[in-house]
Amino acid sequence: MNTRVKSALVGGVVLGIASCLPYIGLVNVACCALYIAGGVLATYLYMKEQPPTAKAPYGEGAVVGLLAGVFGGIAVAIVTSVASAFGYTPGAEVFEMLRGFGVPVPDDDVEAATTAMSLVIDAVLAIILYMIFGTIGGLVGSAIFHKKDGAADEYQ
Amino acid sequence: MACLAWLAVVASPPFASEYADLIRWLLHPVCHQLPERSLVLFGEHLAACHRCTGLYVGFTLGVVFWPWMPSMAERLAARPRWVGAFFIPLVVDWILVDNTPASRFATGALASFPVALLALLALAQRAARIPNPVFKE
Repeated sequence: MNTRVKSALVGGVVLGIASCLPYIGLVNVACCALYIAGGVLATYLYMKEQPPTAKAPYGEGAVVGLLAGVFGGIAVAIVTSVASAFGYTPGAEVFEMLRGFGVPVPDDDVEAATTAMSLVIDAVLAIILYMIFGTIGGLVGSAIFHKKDGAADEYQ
Repeated sequence: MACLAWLAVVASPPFASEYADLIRWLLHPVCHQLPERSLVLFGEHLAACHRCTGLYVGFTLGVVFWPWMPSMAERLAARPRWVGAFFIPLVVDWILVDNTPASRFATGALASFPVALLALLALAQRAARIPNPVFKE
């Protein structure tokens, strides 16, 4: 397994599972922060193994983030399916907390009927959205964690 | 085009009331979509909150305007870590309880505007790696 896939796998799976955890998943309410963080973590792990370069490898970062999104989406789909089998809906406590603050939340978000079809559709949706936001995370990660080559004076 | 398509999906509920619930359901994993924290158009709230709508609008504006600001783009590209500084107002606004729809939208737009430059640079880098058979020497 090459560094790119390994980093993406770790970043995607760790943040994918975190998204499904009670209360930690609440962070996603802040503009899907965990989705983006998955891409950032994957890029950090990838950049750690890379030699310094004159230009930040945004293209590579985007690809690593995209792959992290794929793995994260798959992890979310698996965890959600397993949790649903045990009668737990990931994210339910988020809506409960919002209700606690007096924010009107539609009931069907929490008590949505879980069928095999809805799990498949949710999985596909999660993978697509994770890919988009993971790529953004990968771009931000490559900007932050890029090791600049000391010999290069100019960016271009 | 992808940015405009995404923005069209976010802004579509007021224009496609019969599909509004489906559109909101498509975007529910990435935004809380609370009606009182979302922009309202023709009595129907959009499929994303003020802050998320700001993020999407800022990114789209960035994709459009960065190519027209080459000197600024070059400066930011040389110090890419400064992209993180644009997120500080968003975080401060998020922590503040007394934020307003305008502050949520504006800080979201400000945060994502420079990220669009990174996306453009990534596309340029990926495109440079694709061999061009027409101009092959």
